[in-house]
Amino acid sequence: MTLRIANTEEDKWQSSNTYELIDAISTRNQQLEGVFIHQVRMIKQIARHAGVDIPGIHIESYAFKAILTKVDHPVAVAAALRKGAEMLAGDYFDPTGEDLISSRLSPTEKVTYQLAFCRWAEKAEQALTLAAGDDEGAAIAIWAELFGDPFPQPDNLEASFLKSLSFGSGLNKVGVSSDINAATKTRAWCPPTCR
Amino acid sequence: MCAALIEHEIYGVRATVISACNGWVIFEISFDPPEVLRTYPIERVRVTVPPTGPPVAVSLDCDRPFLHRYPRIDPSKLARVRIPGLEFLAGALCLWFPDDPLHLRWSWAKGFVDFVRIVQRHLWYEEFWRRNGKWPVEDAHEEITVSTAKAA
Repeated sequence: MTLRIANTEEDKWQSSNTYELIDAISTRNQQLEGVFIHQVRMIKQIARHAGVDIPGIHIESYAFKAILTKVDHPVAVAAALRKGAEMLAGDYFDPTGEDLISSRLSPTEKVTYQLAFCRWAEKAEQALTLAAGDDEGAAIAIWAELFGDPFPQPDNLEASFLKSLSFGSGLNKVGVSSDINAATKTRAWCPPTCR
Repeated sequence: MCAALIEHEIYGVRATVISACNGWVIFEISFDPPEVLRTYPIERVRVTVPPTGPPVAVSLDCDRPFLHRYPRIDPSKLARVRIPGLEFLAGALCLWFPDDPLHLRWSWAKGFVDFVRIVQRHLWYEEFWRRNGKWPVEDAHEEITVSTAKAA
């Protein structure tokens, strides 16, 4: 069903494929067992953190083209960022395939967004390479830089982990946090004579 | 209670009984850091289990600064301190505040593995403090300061 919505800037009615768009995103999300919308939100967070005010429908379109199967978040985000950089170089449609949304961007906006997506894609790909080389710490630092505050900095990871050991978590035999391996909460102290 | 049980239950642990005599058992235990603390050193402790009372844990890398550790004192002055002497003689880690309620202290009812986990956690907290200048969770510093002021 096609809706008609008011375009207040041009004072006219225009068609909208809102329902088809929702269906397309919802179907893809179900196919990917619910991770797709989370991965789209992550990419939107990168843009928000960088202060790049690109409309969300564009990011959804890049992710829709790039994330076709269920993959880990880092791989999905890196792929969508690269796809965005590629798509911004030409014309592209929204996820329904009906709306040529690239035409809504000015040439200046397209260049600005493309440069940003190229930069983010390079960083994300660098993080994937570092993680594959067992340098998770450096990879995490890059993701923290891309995502900003919502992504814990490496230092915070360390502190969060240590705090969790006093609040109901412990490490099991293979080093994975688990509630059943928690030690008794205690408060360390020191006699006044040693201060 | 044996070294194999500790190794089976706790991540990154190697434990050896180095002495078992007259009801006393002494373990030497090392703790590998987990991935999230991968830059932390391997920690080594000696845990002495007396015939009665709680065990005592002493770091074998004792030249480093520690925030929560009993000072070693002259044996002739042990009678003046309220805490039993073994902790002071050995320079043991101060794992829990003696005046805290039971649920915030270790006891044998909680098991030896639980004690070793507390030691492991404490050693990582000490390393965090060396690096960051703060204890990562609540400690009993305030209570000690208040009780010291009252005594004075």
